[in-house]
Amino acid sequence: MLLFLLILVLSFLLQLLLPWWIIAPVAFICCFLKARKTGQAFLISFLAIFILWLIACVILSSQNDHILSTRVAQMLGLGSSTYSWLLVATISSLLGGIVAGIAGISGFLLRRLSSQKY
Amino acid sequence: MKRLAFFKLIFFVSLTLISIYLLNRKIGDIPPLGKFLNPATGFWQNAESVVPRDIFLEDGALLDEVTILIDDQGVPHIFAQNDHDLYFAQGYITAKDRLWQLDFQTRYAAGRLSEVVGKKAVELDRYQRRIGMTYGAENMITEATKDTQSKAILEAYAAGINAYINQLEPADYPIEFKILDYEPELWKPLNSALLLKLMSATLARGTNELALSNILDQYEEEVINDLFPNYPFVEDPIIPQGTPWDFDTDSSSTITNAAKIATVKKDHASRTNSEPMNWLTSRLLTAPKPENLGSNNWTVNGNKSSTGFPILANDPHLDLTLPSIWYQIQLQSPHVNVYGASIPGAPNVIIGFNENIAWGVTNVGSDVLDWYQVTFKDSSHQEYKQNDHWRKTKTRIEEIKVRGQQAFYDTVYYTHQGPIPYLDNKPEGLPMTANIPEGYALNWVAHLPSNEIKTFFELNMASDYEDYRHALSHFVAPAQNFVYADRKGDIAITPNGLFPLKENRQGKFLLDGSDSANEWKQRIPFERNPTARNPDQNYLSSANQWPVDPSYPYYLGWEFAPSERARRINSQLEKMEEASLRSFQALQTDDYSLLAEALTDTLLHILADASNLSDLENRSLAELKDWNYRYEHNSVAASIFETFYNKINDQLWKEYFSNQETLMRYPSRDRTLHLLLHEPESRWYSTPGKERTRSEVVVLSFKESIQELKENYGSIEHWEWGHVKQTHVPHLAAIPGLGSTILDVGGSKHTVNAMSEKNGPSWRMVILLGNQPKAYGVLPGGASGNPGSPFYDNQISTWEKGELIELHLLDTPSRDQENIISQIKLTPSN
Repeated sequence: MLLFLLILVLSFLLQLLLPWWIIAPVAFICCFLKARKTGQAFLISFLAIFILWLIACVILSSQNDHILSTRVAQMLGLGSSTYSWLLVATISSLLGGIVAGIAGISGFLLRRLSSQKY
Repeated sequence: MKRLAFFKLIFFVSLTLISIYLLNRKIGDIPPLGKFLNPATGFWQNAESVVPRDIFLEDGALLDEVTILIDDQGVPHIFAQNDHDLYFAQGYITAKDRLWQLDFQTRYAAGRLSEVVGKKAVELDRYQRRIGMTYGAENMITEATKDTQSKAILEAYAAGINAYINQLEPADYPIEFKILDYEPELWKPLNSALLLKLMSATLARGTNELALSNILDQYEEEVINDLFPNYPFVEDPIIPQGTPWDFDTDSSSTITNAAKIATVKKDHASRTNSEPMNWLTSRLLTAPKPENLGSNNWTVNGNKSSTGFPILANDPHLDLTLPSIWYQIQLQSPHVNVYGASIPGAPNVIIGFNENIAWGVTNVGSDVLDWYQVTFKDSSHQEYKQNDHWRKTKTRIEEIKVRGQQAFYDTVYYTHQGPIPYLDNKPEGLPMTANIPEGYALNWVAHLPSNEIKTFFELNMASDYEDYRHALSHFVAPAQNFVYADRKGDIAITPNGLFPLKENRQGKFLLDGSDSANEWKQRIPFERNPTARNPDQNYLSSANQWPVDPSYPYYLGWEFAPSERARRINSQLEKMEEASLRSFQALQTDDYSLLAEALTDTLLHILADASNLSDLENRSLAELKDWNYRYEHNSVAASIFETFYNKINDQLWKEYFSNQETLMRYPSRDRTLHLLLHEPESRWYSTPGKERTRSEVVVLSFKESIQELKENYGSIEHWEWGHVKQTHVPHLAAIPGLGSTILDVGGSKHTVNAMSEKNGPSWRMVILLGNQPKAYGVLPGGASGNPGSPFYDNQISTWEKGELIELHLLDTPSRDQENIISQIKLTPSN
């Protein structure tokens, strides 16, 4: 739970200032410090970013009545129905989640390798 | 074990890095997905709140406080204490609503799209450079900045745009920057000139010289005289017939000799098999329209209006795009208080009204562009012949930067007449080059020094007829029919711009550039441009038709837009009494076709004798018989007539004037109509290989058109005109999802409500002058350029229905007024 919150909160704060891919170093470092298993590193990192991004997308899109995300759905060939915007939000969040997830695995693997050294 | 773990680590680290790398860059036309889809800086940030917020901004360039009120249409009303701050604020607010449009259209005009979209735009960029777009804009800026006032306006406007750009974070960039993955750049006054030149390129680059010379080359001159006459059979010119010319027509400057015509160099001009371009640039590469646009304007004076004051209407027709071509704005300072449509990127209002006057424009299709054959001394292209001596060419090296590649350098040669767009190297697959002859210099009025900014600056604050005339005297290009009305009761119209003083028919064909006798002789003096004021008929109008009848002593061109719209407008205005908002609105959306009215009876008469018509053909015939000649969106007869008429055209002219090898063109609609109605025995019904009668051509065309409609749209119930025509408003860069749906609108190119698939009224306006002007208008779009804003396309449905929205010329900058939804305060920083 701590790992989850750490990734979520740090990513949220750093993304206000830095490019989107800062989520990868955040997941990497947090998992280097806190993760216990490969699967756990992936899942927690993935979920933290997936949920963070999904909430952000939903809030931003809702105050806009989903006008823009529905247009983007059309642009990406995802249709223009009432829930197309949610599909775009989900895909966006999945991308972020996966990048964080593999970065999390990398962080954990580095820790495991370095701890085996000594 | 350890080695395995090491490889696993390397694998996942690499995977992470590669993912980030790939998601952070554009691949082909796919936007950089990570950058684009993340909620912190991606497109989600452009999903602006449907509830607007007040904004406060400090800027050191401001002299005083500026208030901008935003009304319930998203339209800004600027209140400034001085002119500097006014144009600064216009730049600022235009950038806030339309930044990407400003950037993209400027790059398009300057031939700089390759910087953004890569090598696929290189030929397009070369084309813009080679016809001298930047050259023309530079000439304009040099001239305009000689005038301190114009210079100050251009600089304040640029500073306002840049004040907006400078406070942006990448997350704030308009969505198109994120899709195309590039950044906005700072604005220069040259960009404003480029956008005005773009208007010239859209409205005044029509050229038939190559096609006509090719026809002359292939057929007898008698064919030209017969089929491409110098004045139409039916016309109703803009300056009412019988209006006396206000100057001595025996003047020595009148020229009547025919110009010498150049021999035609064999030219393979119609290579239009363009390779399929993708969606980013496909829209930009569409061919020039075969028929000119369809703008209308008119005004009636107090004798004809229900208010006792003049009423004025204007609907300029252009390619429909989102974001809208026009940007509505009110500008108020101690010197001016004006409302209307502005061009994003150019200061002032272009079409609009103030407390005293209203004005509008339509295009004048005069011949302001000529081609001069260049005789080079040798293949170095350093010298060319003029009379009996050699002159030196100038060269301009164009550096075209290409995204992801090395820059492309292009050398363009200029004679004293202008640039030579293509020596013998015209590119394949760029339709807009089809009418450009190779080896010719382009002499174009859009290259001349000019200061149109001054015209609009003065019109914006004009209060009477003298002000109007003075403002018009500065205007060069693209020539416009400026209609005018004021609350004192004056009405006027002036086809205005720089019209070169030409010999009769000079520039109907390609010209020999080595003979200086072929060159333009100065210009028609502004005072002698055609104009009419307060005619007995109590109304004035224009619809791109001939400005004058043949009594006008100067040559303006040999062909203008067909006269159906103009004649319809005038016939309606003639009988109009107690003119009102309602009657003007009805005329703007009038879809009655004079072409159909003139032709249908004759066609039906011929078809009545036809035997062996199928059931479907008989049903179609019945539709035509019952037709009211209106291009209503649900009319099946309109689709039948339109297809039928196009087939007749092809049957008559295709074998003669359409050729894979050589660019040619069909005779005008006026000429074709005259043939069908009054020349039943003409030789032109036959083709070179086959004797045919008029009846045979008509019956064959009818059968073919019904066949085509059946193949394309199925059973006859699905042939409604709106369905066949498919009017819609695409995004400026044709990005899917950012355009409109198919709209239910009537009209065709020969009705007042001129409308085609992607072309139509880009702004409709009606102004009722009076002690307090009442004003109405609508855009096929909205105020905002952000596809995520409710104001991006909110007016389209009103536009579709043919309705208008009231426009508010506000008196005071008070936040507490009806219709005001938010406010922006710009204050000088200490």
